[in-house]
Amino acid sequence: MLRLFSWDRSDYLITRAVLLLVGVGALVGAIGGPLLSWATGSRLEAQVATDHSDPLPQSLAAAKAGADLHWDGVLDLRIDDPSLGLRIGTALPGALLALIVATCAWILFRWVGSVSQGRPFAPAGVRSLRLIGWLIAVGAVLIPMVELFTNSALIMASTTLKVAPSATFEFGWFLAAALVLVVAESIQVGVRLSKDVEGLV
Amino acid sequence: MPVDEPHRVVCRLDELIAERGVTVTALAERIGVSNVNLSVLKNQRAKAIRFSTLTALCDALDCQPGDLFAVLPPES
Repeated sequence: MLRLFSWDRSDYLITRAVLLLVGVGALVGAIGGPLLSWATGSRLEAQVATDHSDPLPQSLAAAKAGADLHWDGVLDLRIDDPSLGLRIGTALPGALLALIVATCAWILFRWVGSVSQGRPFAPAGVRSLRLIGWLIAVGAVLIPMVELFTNSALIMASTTLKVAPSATFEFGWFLAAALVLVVAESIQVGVRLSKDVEGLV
Repeated sequence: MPVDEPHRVVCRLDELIAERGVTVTALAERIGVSNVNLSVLKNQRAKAIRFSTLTALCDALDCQPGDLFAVLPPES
């Protein structure tokens, strides 16, 4: 079976470099983009999913027999002179996601460092993985909720349509969090076994 | 001596390393043991050694197990 890593020195260096890039890149992208947009006075553009779904009018697309067509309620917003609060609110979900990604990348960066020093089953590694798991789980709930509030503000600022934003809680993130927590507990078993052979060279 | 009593084995790895003029890192890489484990051995914190590790050490340092380990006399 093909092995991607043999955990030699170059594998450690490349992995740590990638993690560092991911963390820094996420923060720069999530915060730098909106900052630049604010500094240049660019208009605010956003897509807001709403809970509104209407049948498409016949004039737009006549449905053939047996077909049912609906407008899916996604608003494409462009606001020319948004308030600072709107800019911050729009950037907040992305910034939260970037913060979680950067934190997880930093935790993994340090864990790979301890693996490279021959300590894959250190208790700190278990705590790190548990933290990553909980960060993903909390993020999976918090980010859609923040998006919901932000999108409400965007709708109120841009239209008189009586629509409410919708939030999507992705099951995949909860599954990913659960998998990471399972791996953490498996490594905890490794920590116990490692203690049993402590001092064996 | 019952096996659960503290041992009196001392490891003279640091002396042999100095005599042979090798570094811990180079030796660890040569015998396929981590730096951490070799340091454990060198600093008298090891509790057991695999025969495979012992063989690799003796080959790398051109010595015998008796050159590496000694048992101190019991304290009277």
